[in-house]
Amino acid sequence: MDDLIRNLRYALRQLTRRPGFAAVVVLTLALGIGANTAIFSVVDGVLLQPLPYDDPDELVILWGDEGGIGTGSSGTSYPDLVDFQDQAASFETLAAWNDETYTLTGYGGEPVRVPLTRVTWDLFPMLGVAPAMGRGFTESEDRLGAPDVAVLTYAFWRDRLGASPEAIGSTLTADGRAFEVVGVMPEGFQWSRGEIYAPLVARWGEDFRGNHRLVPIGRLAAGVSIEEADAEVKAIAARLERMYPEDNTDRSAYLEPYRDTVVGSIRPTLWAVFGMVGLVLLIACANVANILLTRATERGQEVALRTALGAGRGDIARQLVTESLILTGLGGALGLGVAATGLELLRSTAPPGIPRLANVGLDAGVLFFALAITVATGLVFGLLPSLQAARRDLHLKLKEGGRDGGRGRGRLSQVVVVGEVALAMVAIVAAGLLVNSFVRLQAVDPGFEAESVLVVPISLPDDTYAAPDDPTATRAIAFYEEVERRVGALPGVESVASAYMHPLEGGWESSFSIPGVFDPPEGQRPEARLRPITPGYFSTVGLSLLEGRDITDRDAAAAPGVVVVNESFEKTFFPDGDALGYTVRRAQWWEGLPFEYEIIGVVGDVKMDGLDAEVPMAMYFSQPQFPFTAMNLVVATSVPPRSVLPAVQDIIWDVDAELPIENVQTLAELSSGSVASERFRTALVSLFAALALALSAIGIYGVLSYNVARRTRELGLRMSLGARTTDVLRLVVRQGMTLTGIGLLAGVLLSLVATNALATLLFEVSPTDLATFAIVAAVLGAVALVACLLPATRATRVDPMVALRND
Amino acid sequence: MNQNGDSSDARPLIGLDAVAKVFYTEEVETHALSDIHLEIPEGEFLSVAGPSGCGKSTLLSLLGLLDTPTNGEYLLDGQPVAELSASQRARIRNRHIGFVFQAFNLIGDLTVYENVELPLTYREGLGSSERKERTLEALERVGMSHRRNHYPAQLSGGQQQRVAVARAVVGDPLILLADEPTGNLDSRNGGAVMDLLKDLHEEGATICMVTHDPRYAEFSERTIHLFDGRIVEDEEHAGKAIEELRESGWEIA
Repeated sequence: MDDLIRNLRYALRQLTRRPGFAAVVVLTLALGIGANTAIFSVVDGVLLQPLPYDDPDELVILWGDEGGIGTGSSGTSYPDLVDFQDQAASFETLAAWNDETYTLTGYGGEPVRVPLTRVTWDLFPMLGVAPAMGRGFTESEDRLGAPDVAVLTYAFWRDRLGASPEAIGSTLTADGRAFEVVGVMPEGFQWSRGEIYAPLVARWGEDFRGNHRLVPIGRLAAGVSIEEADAEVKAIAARLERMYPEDNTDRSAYLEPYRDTVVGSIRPTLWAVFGMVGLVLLIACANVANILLTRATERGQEVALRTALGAGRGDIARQLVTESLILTGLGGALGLGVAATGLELLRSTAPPGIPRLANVGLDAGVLFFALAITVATGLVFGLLPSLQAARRDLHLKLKEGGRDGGRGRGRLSQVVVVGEVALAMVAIVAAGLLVNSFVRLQAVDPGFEAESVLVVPISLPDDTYAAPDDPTATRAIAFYEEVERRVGALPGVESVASAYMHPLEGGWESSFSIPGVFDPPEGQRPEARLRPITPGYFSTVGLSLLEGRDITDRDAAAAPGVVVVNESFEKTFFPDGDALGYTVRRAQWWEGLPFEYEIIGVVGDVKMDGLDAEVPMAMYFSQPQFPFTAMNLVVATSVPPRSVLPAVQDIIWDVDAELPIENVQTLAELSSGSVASERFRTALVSLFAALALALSAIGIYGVLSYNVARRTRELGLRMSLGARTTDVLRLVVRQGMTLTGIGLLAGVLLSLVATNALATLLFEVSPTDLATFAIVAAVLGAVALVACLLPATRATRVDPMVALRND
Repeated sequence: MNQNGDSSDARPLIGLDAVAKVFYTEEVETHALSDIHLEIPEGEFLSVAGPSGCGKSTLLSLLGLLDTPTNGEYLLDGQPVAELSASQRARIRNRHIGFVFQAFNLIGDLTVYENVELPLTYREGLGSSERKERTLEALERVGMSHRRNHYPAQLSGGQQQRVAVARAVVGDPLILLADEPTGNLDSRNGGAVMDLLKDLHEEGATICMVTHDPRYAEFSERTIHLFDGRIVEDEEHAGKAIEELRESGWEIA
């Protein structure tokens, strides 16, 4: 105990007498430990922790596979779901869901758009999650004609209904329909987008085999592997294809572990970022090792002395371990703070779409892991002096008063620096590739002019605007005409139009044929994006009309059907560019409206699926001939677009006071948001690369400073023998840059291997992009040069007389 | 400190028999010491002289158990030390050997008091009150107790060496090994340190001191001269007091 207190007191005194040394070590450790703990907590919470359901590894998604028509994965139709449920023996349960959006009114607040997820009655029991209050759904509630019931998320119940205990049994009005609230799910439970859950019921007239609106999820039966189950669903899909060729031709199915569905897309990003912080931790450890090695040289004499005075190895080790533990303990404590702050920052700045991020907490395991690595580094390098005390030059060391060459450790330090530069090179190359990729992504022409356009989502409730007595939605058409006319008259508004979805959104696809050009049997027909628009849409969002004419007021419901196709569409079917005049034929969705449309124009492509994705084929219809009720009002302005929003809102509410107006954004914001995850990833990786660069620069600087201090006498001697300032400068810089050069070379080789892991995250950049490698090497070399020049300049100020007198 | 007034018929504290030390570096054999026969009786003040590189320091590091001989036998207080483990050697250094170095070797981050106390902290079973008593006593003996809370950097070279001597004697060792204890001091401070060693010897301490300064060799009772790793002369003389040296013409401040 006495020993411990003395060791502690001495260690603390050592640190307070060398605050710079202590600060560098503690800060380096804190950054290394903190960054790793924060990022690994995210990796663990998002990727590694089991999903919060019973036996989550048995849950699989049943995807429709439309590989034959080129659109890849899709949902499943209601009739197909029923067939899979009846025929598949591989599942204990096969449930399904689909996401919808409803306008909620009469609950005591403003009308709001609320995501409502319809689920089969057995979904929650299959997950093993029971409502916290009330009950779940019963089998009878899945049937057509059953009364509308709803189960709420905890957040909806708390935020919208004030956590009222009377909520159960109350009624919510969504799109004019009354839903009886029968249950509230536990806090934190969230399935798909839904804030409200309702039973999934078949819809008359809508649920034909070509409408793949559902996502089935199953729990594998006991003893059945995913491969066996996959083979079975493929066999069933093949049977359905034979039985229903008109809808299911070229349609197969496959299973995907549910975990992959949830986190699959974010996985490469998280591992890439985790790889980066791993590099930062390694570099931090290398720096701490180097600093401690330098200290070991200083401490060598002290240790030799203590040994001469009778200290055993244990005594020395305890002393040094105490010091290392204090350093790493402080680093760890500060690292915990860095991790907590970093995690909070990550949560608040991360773009939407990272699953389970809200549930991520600081991970004790990884904190321990990072701490263990750094403590181990601290111990190994901190203990070096005691190991070296056994050397037979003990007496020499005591005799010389510690003015030792430390040559062996000098070499070890140099090896550590080479390693550090190599690791930094890998980190910065990775960041460089992502930055390069991001710059290229930003340079992609989205196909529209994003400046000064306001996008106002409007969703007209079907019971008012497309009621059974108004199947062609004339009231919806009138609504948009009225709103557009009045908004168009506002000062500062240049033009206004409406369209289903905004330019960077996906949305519905539908099959079609082109009589005389491409007319395969039903089920084998191609699909293209549907875009009902109102006149002036192309000019409002800055889409250029390449051929033919725009849609106008004359293309009314009763007029001949017209369609404007995009460039990709024309290239696919009319490589000679002569699409105008041909007819596109579709299934007839509305009695009395056209189902054949003459191609009257061709517009430029828009990057609907993101800047890095292929442009899908698209068909723009005149809204009266294709009467969707949920549209985006797009308003081009000559003033800042948001400044006209209050006036636009007033006009909309003047026409229909019940309409919710939410998620209004400018096209520029949407455009920027479409690359948010890439920007976030690039920023995060660049941040850690900068950290790696700074740490390795400190490492180079530290080793060279130490070498200059160690060689003061030699430098003095050289100068007394006639070496000029430039000779000394060159001597020191050459030493540093040689180490850097070797490190860079090793870094290039490491990077060639490591950056392959980034391949899926890169856009139009090869993982071995020569320019990126060259620029990174130049930047790292330049930083290293600065780090060399500082101690080299100090070396030139050595006074030969003083240096030699010191001997 | 062990009390023994007369060294002539005292038992040998140190006995070296045919001791040799060879260093092997990059295929070169260096014979630092060859065929050393040496006895140091309890209570003797022995000095080791010789030119640079003759093996003085190697001899001292063998005597101090900081190194082991390549050949020959070393008996310390009648006990062979060749087969001792590192921890046993550390315990013997701590209990029976006191070192004084040319470069003082005080730890800069420890106070004067803590530097002197240091060897006692490595000794098991020694209570803190006894440690304190012995530390203060040692500081009193070298006249440095008034500086006990200072750090080494705040002291002159002579004062630092006095503190180092206090540290060497605080554990009541069998023998004091001094490696050119005046080498880094001016003649005034060097003389003061030699006076201190002389006093300690008169109180009964056994001292083995390396020096290449013939003036200070005169303080001892016997001087052995080393050349090329061998003892070439073993000369007995009555240890002189500093006053006698001054009187015989030495320029000592």
